[in-house]
Amino acid sequence: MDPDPPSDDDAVVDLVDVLLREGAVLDADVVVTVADVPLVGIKLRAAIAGMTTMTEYGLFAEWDERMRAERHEGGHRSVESAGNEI
Amino acid sequence: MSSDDSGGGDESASSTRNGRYLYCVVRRDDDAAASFDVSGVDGAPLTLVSAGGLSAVVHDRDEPYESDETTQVRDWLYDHQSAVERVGETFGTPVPFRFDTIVRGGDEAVRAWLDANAETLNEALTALDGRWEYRVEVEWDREALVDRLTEDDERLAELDDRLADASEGTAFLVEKQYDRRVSELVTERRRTRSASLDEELRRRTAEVVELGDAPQTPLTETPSGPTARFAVLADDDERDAVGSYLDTIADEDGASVRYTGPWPPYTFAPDACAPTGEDGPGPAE
Repeated sequence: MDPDPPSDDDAVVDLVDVLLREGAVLDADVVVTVADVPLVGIKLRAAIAGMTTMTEYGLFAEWDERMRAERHEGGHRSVESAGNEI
Repeated sequence: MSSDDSGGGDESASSTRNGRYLYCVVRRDDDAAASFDVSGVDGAPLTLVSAGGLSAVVHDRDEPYESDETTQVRDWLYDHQSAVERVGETFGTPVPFRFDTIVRGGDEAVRAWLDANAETLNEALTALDGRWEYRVEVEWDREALVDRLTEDDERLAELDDRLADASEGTAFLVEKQYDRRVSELVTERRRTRSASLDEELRRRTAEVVELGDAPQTPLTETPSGPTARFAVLADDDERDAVGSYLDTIADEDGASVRYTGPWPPYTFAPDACAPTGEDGPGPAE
């Protein structure tokens, strides 16, 4: 079988999963944050999945915590320096 | 957008002015850059910010995109996706960034960041070169699975016999045991199926990541049966090999297969790009 292209309707689940969950991550200090939540996309993700469903499955909380932890780890070895070096 | 603005001039910590929405990083190609004409989220014109042998694809944006409108969000995601796809067609496989990644400090900050992470980014681009991400999801039909398991399992056959002779009270207990045994068998079958899928995919591709069976985005129907999900990194030949393999499993235990791609290698991008570039984990493999 041939893979369905990302533009296909069937791929929309992957589209959301891939674009909001995966991909390289930049350090927290350089990245714009929303109300100190160190990721972008959380609200969008909640909106698209339906908050109730997400909460029901515990996915949102788990994911949110993981993202925070990830960002936090990144934050320590970080920068200001990107700005300062300029 | 323009390279002539003052860039890193304003550096107050809370400032979100002079932001750059980051799509992906590619190998620098000044010829291709000269005729670069791609639009991004909401039709924003994209520009290339280059340092050394690398270019970042960006557009001017100070605030993250936010909306409660599902269709709006979906449109943005499609915009983002098709932009990265177009860039990839010209510049080769990119290192893709998560949706809504916005850097403050203008083009200068982006250049400084590219310099600091040149090694990690170059290694990643080399590892990803010529390959794209594909997603494989296999869902087994629970009913079909149960039918098959029921035929084969001695323990179930035995419980079945007991059930036939049982009084009402005993029948209740036996039925519970029966259901528990069925669940065990389904779980076990999913595990072995998933392990063999993993092995077969590994044999055919550069890299495989198991994504687990949780429905990550219940945007459409939640899988009802046992499910296994994978991301694989594959070139064109490997992609075809995976497709042929998936054909062979499509009917086993009522399996339905979803195969999508090519995606920019989101799952295989470096996890984090530290501004100092010291200890960012390299590209997978």
